[in-house]
Amino acid sequence: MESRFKREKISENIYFTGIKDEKFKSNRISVNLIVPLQVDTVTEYALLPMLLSKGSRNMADFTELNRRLAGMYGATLSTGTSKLGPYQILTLSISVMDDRFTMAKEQNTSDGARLLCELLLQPKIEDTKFDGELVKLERQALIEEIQAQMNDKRAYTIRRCEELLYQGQSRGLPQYGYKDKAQQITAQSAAAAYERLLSGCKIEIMFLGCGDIDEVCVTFRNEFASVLTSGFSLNEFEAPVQNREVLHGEEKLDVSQSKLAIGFQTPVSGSDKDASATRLAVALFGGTPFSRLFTHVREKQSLCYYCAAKYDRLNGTMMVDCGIEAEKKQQAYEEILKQFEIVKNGEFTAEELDNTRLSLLNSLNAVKDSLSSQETWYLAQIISGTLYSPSEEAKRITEVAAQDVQAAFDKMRLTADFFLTSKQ
Amino acid sequence: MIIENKIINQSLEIVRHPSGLTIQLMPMVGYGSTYVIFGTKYGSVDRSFKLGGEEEYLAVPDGVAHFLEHKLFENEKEDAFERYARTGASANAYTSFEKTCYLFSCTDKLKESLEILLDFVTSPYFTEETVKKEQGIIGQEIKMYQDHADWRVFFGMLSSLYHDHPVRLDIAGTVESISKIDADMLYRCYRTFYSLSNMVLCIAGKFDREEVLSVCDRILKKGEDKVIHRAPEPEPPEIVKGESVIKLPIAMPIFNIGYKEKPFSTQRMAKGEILSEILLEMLAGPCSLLYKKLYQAGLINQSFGTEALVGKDFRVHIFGGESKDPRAVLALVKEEIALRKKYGLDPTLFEEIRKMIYGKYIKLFGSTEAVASAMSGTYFKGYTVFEPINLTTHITFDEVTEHFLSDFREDRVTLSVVEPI
Repeated sequence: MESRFKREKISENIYFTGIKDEKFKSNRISVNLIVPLQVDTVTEYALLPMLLSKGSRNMADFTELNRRLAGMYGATLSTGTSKLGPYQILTLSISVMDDRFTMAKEQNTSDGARLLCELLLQPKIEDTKFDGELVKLERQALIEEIQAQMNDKRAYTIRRCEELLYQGQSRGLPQYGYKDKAQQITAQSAAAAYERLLSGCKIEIMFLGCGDIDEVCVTFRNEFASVLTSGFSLNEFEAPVQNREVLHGEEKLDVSQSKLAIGFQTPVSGSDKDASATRLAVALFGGTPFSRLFTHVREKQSLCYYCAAKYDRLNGTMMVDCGIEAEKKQQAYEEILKQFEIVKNGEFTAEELDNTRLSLLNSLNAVKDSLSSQETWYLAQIISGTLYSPSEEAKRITEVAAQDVQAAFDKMRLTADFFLTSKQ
Repeated sequence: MIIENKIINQSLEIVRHPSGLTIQLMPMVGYGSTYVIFGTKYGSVDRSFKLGGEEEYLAVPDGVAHFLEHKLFENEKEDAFERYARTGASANAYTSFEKTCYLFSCTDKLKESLEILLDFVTSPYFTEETVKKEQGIIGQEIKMYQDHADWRVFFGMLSSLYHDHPVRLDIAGTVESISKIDADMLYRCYRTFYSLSNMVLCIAGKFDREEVLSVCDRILKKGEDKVIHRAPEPEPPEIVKGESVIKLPIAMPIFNIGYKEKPFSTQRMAKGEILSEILLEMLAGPCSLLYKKLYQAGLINQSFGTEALVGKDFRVHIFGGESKDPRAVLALVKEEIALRKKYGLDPTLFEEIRKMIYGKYIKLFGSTEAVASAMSGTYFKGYTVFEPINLTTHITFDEVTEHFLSDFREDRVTLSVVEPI
């Protein structure tokens, strides 16, 4: 089956990246607006995708938009705010069934591309103000989203640990911003934020699927012809500050199971080879059901229900997190650090390393079978300033040796921990 | 037997293996990965059963099916994850109300991973020592879920609807109920429900047909034919109570509104599920007037959604999400349903929703995981994975209306809320 990769500059600071693969039954198109994370803008920018997703100035309301999406064979519109490294990414994306399955030869894919452009470039702004009622509703929805961050206790504990890891740095900003800043947003300030965003961001348009990649590219080239954005340099992001002492945090809530998160820092700069070695090292330590953490902390010593480690290259961190009984905290902590030293000293077997490698290769090779996985992969690549395919990364993983794994852990520093536990 | 679907140009092969196992195969051209599910029709609701020839039903503690799922990964010599480690496959398992599934996905060494899967699921090994250890682990899992507001509000709703049917019970049981499980009980449940005639193997993606069938030939042994009798769970149509509220440390209230419905017959299952799906979208999906009313009143946000929970002898229509005032949401839902019953549903909206559901089921066939999951899910409900597409193209507005009028009784609804402390 045909597969094709295309990356093209639409205009200054606006790029189109497309992957065509005939095996899929749908197409996924996204527009990603990338800006540096800043305390003054993070909240107002987080509101914008929510406003844009409720319809363009040509639509009466969001019901009209939703009925249009339903008529496009259930096209799914999703919008969101995320963080990658020191950047905030505002995304509008649409997933559409491919044209070849339509009942009346409809041009579902290009309709989807045009709709996305309409929502982004023709917002409900009149007289330098967003629709007031719309802003009122979505502002409240944003506040609820900010408050809801504490609902998922596992993710909440990790975020609290990250706040300690990135103390004072923009990377530590919450992805949806702050409640008090959200409360101050008006219809006018939101419109001003929209103009500021569009004129100062980098735009990455992505298309993945089986449809006509060239036609979609032309659509975006035409629709974005009048968009002028100054952008900024993606490759010169601030390196995270290396903390000198370990910071501790704790909070008590009415929870049944306690959570512990332990954050390590590792250099962000360094070669791709170093990054691949770190990826493999972290997986060996805590990224599989046969990792050091799972086997020793959970299975052999029954110290926790789950215990895993995750690597974030763009932020230069490894985060370990576990669900435990409160009285086992100290034991679990000590065992996690003991396992860390074991990996750092190279006291793992060749079989462990090879098996971990197999697991990573399996994951990397499966990326091309999923539209969303490919989108996530390539967006992260673009932010990093690289454009490696999963198979190129797989090749680097096969070349990582035991001493590379040791070296990767040797560069890591325990930096912060956070413990969420019960009030009783 | 091969079933072709010309719309999406896919074929499904159903093989009746000599061992008694049904095997479903869906090759997906161009894919580099394979998704495999080995499932049994045994879930948390199967708490009382007997085999053909036995006189008495055996009642087991809550949580046995889930406990068994955990234990099967262990073996005397080496557990399944240690074996999968040598193939690189990504493996997992889950237990739901009516089935337990063991799965893996891989991009290489399919034959080896399939051998592991078939072998460990058909080779139980339980001892009192390993059972005791698992009680500790599952006890922690149960505690973890106690902190999940979504989980608690869902079971709060089910226990307010169902007097005695086991769908009201947590799938993992309780710390107390699992303390009563022993190795003998696990073996008894295993021998009843893990007979191959009660199971299905579903493979989607990239694979060699002869290779996977030869692995099945080598590993799977024909057992004795077993007829499983699951004890009936009589349940009155009335609900238990109209409201339940608990408190957890969350930011704002979460709710589930549940309508208790008459279960579908096996023959009606496939069509009934599609009718419910279309109906819920028409009533309260993002295209509906109700959704607009609720959203513009600030009573719901993007977390709001609907679901049709359908089992062999239970059925619930669910509306759920976050809200500052769940009781106001319930009042508006009831009001809208009464209005639609009086004035009718919108036929134009029906056509848009039908197209939407059709598109959803077409898109599903782009993912190996979605296909394999749909294959196993539809098999246990008595139909094939292509049925939803076929049904959606033929379903009529009158059928949806008739379905609507017989459901959503106002005396069969409950509101479950989890509030902030």
